Amino acid sequence: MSPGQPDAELIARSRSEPAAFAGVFDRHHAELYRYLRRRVDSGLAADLAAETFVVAFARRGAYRADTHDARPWLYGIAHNLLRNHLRAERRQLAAYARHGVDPLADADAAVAFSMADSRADSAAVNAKLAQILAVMADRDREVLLLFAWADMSYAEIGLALEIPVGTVRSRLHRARRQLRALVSPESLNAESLNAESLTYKETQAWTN
Amino acid sequence: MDELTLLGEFRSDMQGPTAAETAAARDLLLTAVAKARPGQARAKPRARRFWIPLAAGTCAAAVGIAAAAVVMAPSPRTIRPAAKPAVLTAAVVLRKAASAAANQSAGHGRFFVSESEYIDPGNGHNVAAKRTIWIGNGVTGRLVDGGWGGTASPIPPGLSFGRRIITWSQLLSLPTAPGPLLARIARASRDNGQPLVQAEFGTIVGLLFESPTTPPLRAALYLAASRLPGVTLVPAAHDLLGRSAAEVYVPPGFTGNGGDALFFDPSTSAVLGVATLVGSNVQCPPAWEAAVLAAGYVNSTFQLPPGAPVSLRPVTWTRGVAGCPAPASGQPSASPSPGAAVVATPTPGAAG
Repeated sequence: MSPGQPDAELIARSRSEPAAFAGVFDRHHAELYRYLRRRVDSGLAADLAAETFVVAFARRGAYRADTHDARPWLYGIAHNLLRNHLRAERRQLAAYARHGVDPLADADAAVAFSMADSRADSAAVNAKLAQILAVMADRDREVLLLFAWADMSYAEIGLALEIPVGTVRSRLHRARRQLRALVSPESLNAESLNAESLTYKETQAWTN
Repeated sequence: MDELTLLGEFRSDMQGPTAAETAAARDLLLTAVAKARPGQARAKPRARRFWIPLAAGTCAAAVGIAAAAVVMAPSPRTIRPAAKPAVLTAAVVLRKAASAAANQSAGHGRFFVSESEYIDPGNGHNVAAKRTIWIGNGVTGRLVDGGWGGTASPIPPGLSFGRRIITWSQLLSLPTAPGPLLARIARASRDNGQPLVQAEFGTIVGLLFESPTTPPLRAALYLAASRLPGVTLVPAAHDLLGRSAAEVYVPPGFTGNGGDALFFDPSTSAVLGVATLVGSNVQCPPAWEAAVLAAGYVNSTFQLPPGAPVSLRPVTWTRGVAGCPAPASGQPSASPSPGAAVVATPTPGAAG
């Protein structure tokens, strides 16, 4: 694989030379995993990232040759796979908002986090953020996270989710308006943010 | 700080995939790749629905015409399409070597001995020298190296496995299924300063060259190598002694500069030699290259493997084209250093 070879060429080549698809994997797997890892637990992120490439390989015949970058296509497949787990994602975000400890964090990191007083402010903000994401409509959250975490343009998000760019724009606007409440100080209501730390045992229970 | 910045920092410290997770995911993909036939995936036609009636009509007409032609054809033979010529790729020859290895029987002995001939242009040694290594199974081995002033020195038991040193028994306990083996190789090869694929290939070469691998492990190593992306076959290659060999390597353009090349005989799975490449042109002189003369199992550090030649064989190495970079110094990852933990050799013709 040439480092500068566009994804479209690799995918086109993989139709006659299937092994060429491994180049797409090497280029995008780690990034896709990191994106998924921010949304679900590590085991599920690994499974979904792996499954994404298997599905993508099977559907490589449908890849649009005029799309040089395969990211929107891959993220679109990943999002379709992720849809079965959106309820779990909302539940974990709600738990984060309620307890102030991220259920997705590694157990050791979570304990260290809960013990670090200096990060209490950040914890409160993150808990509030988790609360907003938990109650946000799934379709708005998808657009927002692709924009913020996958660094995708409106057009790329449109390609990934197979929606018009205008719809991307309106969903993103709605999602950002909800988030904007975060930056206003009165939104950080201490009572609504139960920042008490969990014990190690409880933390492990969340991460398992 | 705006809302997007806050969101950008949310869970931004999540770790990337581990080597094992990456290897498992790639293995899953490569399994799907292995099942796929070239050309199986066709580009999806646009506006398919519009063409369905027309295509159906055309097909029906074509079937009718074809049926009539068959009925009216004077020849009694069925006409078959010409067989597609097989394309020789690295994966094909590596899989062939794997199946050859899987049918061999294991050897036994306290030592695995390998005799090889090598050149070391990276250190200014262009004249071939002979090296004989006895790897002990839990006991001290011995190295006799003509390129080091004719030295003979004891060497500790141990084998290179990526960045790790493993014992003979640990070598034998490595998985013999290519997927799990590749996951172990990925873990052992990570963070060695090379791109991962190149490091993984180097680890595989290190286990195949001068190492007492069993036939099942050798088969799994060849299969694991066939699954690495970018592994390339050099057509009509020859080893240092001019023997015809399959040469596979990871192209420098794919993973960086240089790397290991493996010479082997696909029909016997025997490793014929290894080389450390320099620059992006595989025809350029290597930094180091070795050819296996003989290898096998013995019970003392003074016994030689069966078929070991008395004198050196002439080197017919003729690589060298204009514009090649100067050979870099240093031995390949597959090459053991005197005094360091060392590896031993599966032989041309001898079972491991």
